[in-house]
Amino acid sequence: MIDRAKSRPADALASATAYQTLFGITLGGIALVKAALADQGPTADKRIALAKFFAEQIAPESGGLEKIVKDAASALSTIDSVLFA
Amino acid sequence: MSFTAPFADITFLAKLFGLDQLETEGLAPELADGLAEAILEEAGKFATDRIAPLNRIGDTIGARFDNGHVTTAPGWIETYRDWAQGGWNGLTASVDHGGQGLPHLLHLACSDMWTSASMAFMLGPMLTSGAIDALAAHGSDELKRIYLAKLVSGEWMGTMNLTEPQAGSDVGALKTRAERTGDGTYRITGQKIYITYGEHDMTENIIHLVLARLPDAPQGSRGISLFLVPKFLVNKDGSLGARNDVRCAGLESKLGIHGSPTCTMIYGDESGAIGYLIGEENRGLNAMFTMMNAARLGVGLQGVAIGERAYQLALSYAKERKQGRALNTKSEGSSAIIEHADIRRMLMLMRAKTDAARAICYMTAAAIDRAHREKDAQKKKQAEERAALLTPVAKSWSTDIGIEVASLGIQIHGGMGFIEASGAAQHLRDARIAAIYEGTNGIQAIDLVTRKITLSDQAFS
Ligand SMILES: Cc1cc2nc3c(=O)[nH]c(=O)nc-3n(C[C@H](O)[C@H](O)[C@H](O)COP(=O)(O)OP(=O)(O)OC[C@H]3O[C@@H](n4cnc5c(N)ncnc54)[C@H](O)[C@@H]3O)c2cc1C
Repeated sequence: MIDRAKSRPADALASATAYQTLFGITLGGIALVKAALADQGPTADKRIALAKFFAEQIAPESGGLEKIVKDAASALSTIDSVLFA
Repeated sequence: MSFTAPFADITFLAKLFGLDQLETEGLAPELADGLAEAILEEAGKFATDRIAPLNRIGDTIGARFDNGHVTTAPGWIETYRDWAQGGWNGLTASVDHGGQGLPHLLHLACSDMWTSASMAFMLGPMLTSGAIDALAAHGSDELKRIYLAKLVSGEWMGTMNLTEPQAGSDVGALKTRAERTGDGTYRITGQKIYITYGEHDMTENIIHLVLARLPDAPQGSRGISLFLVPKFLVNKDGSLGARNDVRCAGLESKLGIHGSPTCTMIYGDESGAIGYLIGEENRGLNAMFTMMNAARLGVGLQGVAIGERAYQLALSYAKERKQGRALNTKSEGSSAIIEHADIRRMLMLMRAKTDAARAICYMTAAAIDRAHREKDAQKKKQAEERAALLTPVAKSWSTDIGIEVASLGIQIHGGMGFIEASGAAQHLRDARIAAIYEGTNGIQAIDLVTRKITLSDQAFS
């Protein structure tokens, strides 16, 4: 994305929101794991369950987002045929 | 519809994602002896006991407009007064200006609970703290002497005036005019729209921070200056003087945050509102950015805070509502819906996303604190870049999930969620604006990919 922002800015803008969501999910998932590892108290089990749930039911969305970030652009150039038909 | 501030959980996450490290590295020695825990517990009590009960009446009655005056919902003035008298408004402001000089992260964690209690109520203080930051960083000594202490104490509130009918995301398109008067002051003329807490009855004076353009200013965003425009002019001795030439022309009728007045402001109907320059001429956006970055994180936190409140409400409903029989249930008769796999999934989505967004917001605040407090120039720059990188993510992702979590909260309630009496609907209506104001989430994404990720690799570490 860093390369693309410099060399093909229009493509970068096309997938900027997908990138931003991917960033949030990745950082958020890491944070829950960090919290689970750090908690030695009575809420430890709760934090492990939350990190596991995030890993199973939310983190996998990042695969799809990553694909959007990498590929978005080709279809965008043809969008006018829909919006200005 | 009751809400209990989760101060133990918030304390854990605030310490883990920044406060402990700031303390052990000697960057926040004031936190020794459990000060953070004590403050968070007290803040949580105020949220639960005093602010949370205002949320509903703020929604149903809301702020009212009559002939230039705005009346806030019943009970709001008294609770605000007690909150300000508790010293809560000045947590992060410098000790020199009557504040307590505590870390931004600690303030954010307190705001998390107050905002869950009532997002509309906390918008005024949020904008006031932005005004304090901008004034402290860029204001002249004279302006600071007259205005800062009263803003820090909460006796006066601040506002942020960027938006005009033709200038929203594109701030550079604004047209409000500022003319030099020759005595060092300026006359401001123009119309601002959507100004949060632009007029109200909660404080005796309102300090507007207004972006405007000088007659000889360059086109676009390089020709914008920032002015302080008080509702009432202030005499040399600090007492209130004449009414300034600024008025509220009306309130918007809107989807949510009904308790927060969203005002059309008219500057200079008569001879021009008297304004005082903050920072340098034509460098106003620079000064406003101080305010906007903090406000962006504050808006991100609104997503977290609404998520928390929506989760608590949905959880308690799911334990009470009985319907069908869950697989493998041992109990007689119909099951509480919390036993159904799909309800459990939704509750976990709500909890996990809210906690993840909370962690991201806290990390961002920790980077801001480090940027302020680090002595080593290299480390300071690294922290500044990290804060800059994380701010758009904290703003956008947290507000996106805030909306999603509030929507899930409605889904868990079934038909009842669509009925206003359940309270679940208000959370979605309130959460919706957070993805729009302070730079839409689409604008945040542009900022992230075109400016932030290219900053430096150090920001990622
Ligand atoms: C309740 C409420 C409170 C508010 N409080 C304040 C306040 O206190 N002070 C203040 O100054 N303002 C305030 N605002 C204004 C708010 O910040 C603006 O509404 C917001 O910045 C968006 O501007 P706009 O409404 O003109 O939308 P527009 O800028 O017209 O945007 C419309 C759409 O176009 C998209 N868009 C615009 N430009 C681009 C671009 N370059 N690239 C890609 N997409 C783009 C946007 O993301 C959005 O989806 C408030 C608004 C509301 C509704």
